[in-house]
Amino acid sequence: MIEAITQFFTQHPLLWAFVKAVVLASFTLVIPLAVIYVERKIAGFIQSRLGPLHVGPQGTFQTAADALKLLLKEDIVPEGADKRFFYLAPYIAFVSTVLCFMVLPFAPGWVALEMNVAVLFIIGVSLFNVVSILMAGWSSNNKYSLLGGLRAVAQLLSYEIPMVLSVLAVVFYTGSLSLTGIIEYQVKHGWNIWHPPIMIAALIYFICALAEINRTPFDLPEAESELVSGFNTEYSGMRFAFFFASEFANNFFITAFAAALFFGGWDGPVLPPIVWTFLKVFVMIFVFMWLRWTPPRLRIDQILRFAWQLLVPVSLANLLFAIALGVR
Amino acid sequence: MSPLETALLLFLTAITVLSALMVVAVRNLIHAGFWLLPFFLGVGGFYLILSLEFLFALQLLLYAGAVMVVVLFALMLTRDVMNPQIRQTNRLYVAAIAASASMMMLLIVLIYRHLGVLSVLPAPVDSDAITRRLGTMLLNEYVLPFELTSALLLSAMLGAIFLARNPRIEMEEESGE
Repeated sequence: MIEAITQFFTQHPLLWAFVKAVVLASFTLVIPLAVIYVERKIAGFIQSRLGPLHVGPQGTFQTAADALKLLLKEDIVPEGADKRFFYLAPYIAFVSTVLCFMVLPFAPGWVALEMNVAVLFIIGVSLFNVVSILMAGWSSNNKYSLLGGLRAVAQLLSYEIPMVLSVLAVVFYTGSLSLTGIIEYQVKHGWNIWHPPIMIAALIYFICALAEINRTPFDLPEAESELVSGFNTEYSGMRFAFFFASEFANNFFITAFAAALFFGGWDGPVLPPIVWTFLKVFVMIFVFMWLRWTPPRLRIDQILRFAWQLLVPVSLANLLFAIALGVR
Repeated sequence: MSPLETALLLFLTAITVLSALMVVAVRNLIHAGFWLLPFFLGVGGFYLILSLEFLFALQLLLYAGAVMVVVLFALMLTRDVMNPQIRQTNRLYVAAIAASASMMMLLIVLIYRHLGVLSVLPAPVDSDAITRRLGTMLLNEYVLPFELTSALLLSAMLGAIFLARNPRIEMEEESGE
């Protein structure tokens, strides 16, 4: 039976690619349900309240119900909006997230597209997320949206640089641009996080990751108390849901990327590789959510100064350190 | 080439040419900035067909950022950016025409000379080897242009920082702190 299916798909590579694409897109839509539920429960735990409780056992269906509600809601487009760009922006955000998952290895062989420059591809594709934020902010024809969009671009582009430099440190250290290659190196030589230059790189990556997914203390693009809701103020219904889904899927992705770069990806004893990947991802997601309720929000100039005057020089120096100690 | 590849190539060409035309044809500056996106993606697609995955990834990485910067500049430096009646040219249009015409001539000459190379699609190659070769070439044979480019970019960046410095704000900050 399985052999017949395998044979069928090797004969029809286009169909196989289609199946993978559908699976990835659904995964990107479903994983936010889990992440949002976890977020609500952790927020409830930290604030000594219960979190969602009534819809389904322990409130597990709450997010699904929310998604259903958003699906049925009216899709309102502001009168003065730049319609075509307004329509397009959420889908660009979503597609960029799906493309990131495309090259991510979940377990040995569990990768939709094995790419030998996966790391570069991921960094490039994730930038399209920022493009979509700018697009949404501008096309909404709303000053809060525009300010949110501009802040987002300034912040995300600034933190992209130390992030890329810290990822490059891993690349130079392991001598591979392919995520599978990096993980296999770690399976042989131990996790990257235990090596001094990569330890610093991981710390920088962690700070930048917080900024990239707009989490406190870097949640300026959608600072509720200042900008209503930031770049997505004017969005409603399904389009809003797409922004929301891609943000939480990004949350998952950026930790999965960190797991692959620093924590050996699927590597771990006893449990099957796929379980290890998810375990590492959710531990890191827990840390992100924990942080959300800890530090206050910073000002935009403080955030940018921190990136350019501290993170960029440190990550550059660390890159040299990593090259000096690297494999070749 | 298989019919599928030909179709893909035609599709990419159509996207690239059309969006490039849109960039210069639309009257709204922000739209022009965003139209760069499909253009760069189309060019990236050509790299992918030639199995130059490294160049494709770099194309995504550099130009997605470039689009945003262009749009930002349009937003911040243009007065009345939404107005389609706004003048699309400035006093330097003669120089601009001369520069683009000479660039066009250069491209035509180059393409004509290397027509033989361009008309054959290379066989699928080991893209890791290409990436490695690219790196060694940049730091050996082409090290001088490479370094000159970086010096040019650095001086442009310094110039931009100098122009962006606002002495009044600087003074206020010093007195405030």
